[in-house]
Amino acid sequence: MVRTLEGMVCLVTGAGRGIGRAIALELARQKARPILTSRSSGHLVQTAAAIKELTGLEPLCVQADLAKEQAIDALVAKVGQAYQRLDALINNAGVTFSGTIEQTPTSVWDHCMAVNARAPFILCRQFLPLLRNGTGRMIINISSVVGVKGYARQTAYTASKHALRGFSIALAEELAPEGITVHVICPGGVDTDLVRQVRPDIPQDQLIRPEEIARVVIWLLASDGQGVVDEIRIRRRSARPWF
Amino acid sequence: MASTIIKMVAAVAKAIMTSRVVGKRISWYSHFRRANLACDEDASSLCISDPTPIPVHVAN
Repeated sequence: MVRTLEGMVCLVTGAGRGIGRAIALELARQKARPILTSRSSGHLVQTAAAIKELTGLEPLCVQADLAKEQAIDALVAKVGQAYQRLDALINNAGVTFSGTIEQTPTSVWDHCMAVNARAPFILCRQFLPLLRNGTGRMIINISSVVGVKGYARQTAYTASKHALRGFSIALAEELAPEGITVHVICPGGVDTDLVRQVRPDIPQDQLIRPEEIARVVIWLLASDGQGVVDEIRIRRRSARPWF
Repeated sequence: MASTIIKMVAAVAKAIMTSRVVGKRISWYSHFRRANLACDEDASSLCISDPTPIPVHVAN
């Protein structure tokens, strides 16, 4: 069972580049109404321009530093003002760090937790009234392979992605009675600036394309049967199965 | 001859200044300095973008 995404109001965080940009473009192709948010207005504008070229429509773009709670509040207010509802919230924005524990300052730990775990928590809480007004009623959190396992030199990032996944599992239980579903996608190495910086050892042609993750998101959003997929793990073809 | 060399130097300088690769290097360096090696999806704020009429609201 699939449903059309036409007219669905979907917020994508980190929409300026990488997976978020690919998700926003794919949503536009499906005739949904993507709302783009990113810390960098430059990349945001580039994604918006690509969507305009594709569909002729201008998506709502909001520059927001998700590490700041007041920015999230302002983002919620703008979405409410524009649409009065939200059909799907896609928490994609993320930051990472590569270094041993001794090379990891507390500030980096705090920043990873603020953007990767705290921001989705605040976004979910603050967008709930708009999600209740929507028809999609879905939250998709982009965790990571390190939301399931751990990599050396990525302690802060790993902890934040575990936190996001754990939060999602608990929230799914909490919101199920209302018919709001919470999903987690755990991708392995994706061909983004973020991954290329922390995993230069992986050949680029072995990295997962952001568009592949976007297609999974679209499939999840369009799924409308009696079965619900809570979590999807996606590994690189060259990586070991079942991470 | 001299004007040709000047034009070539100017062209190379312009290419370097507007290069996306250089933009990313500058961005990486500034971020490295600012955030103790942390990198993020939105870090390349120094990259040059096309001006466009699409409005961007600021929520900060």
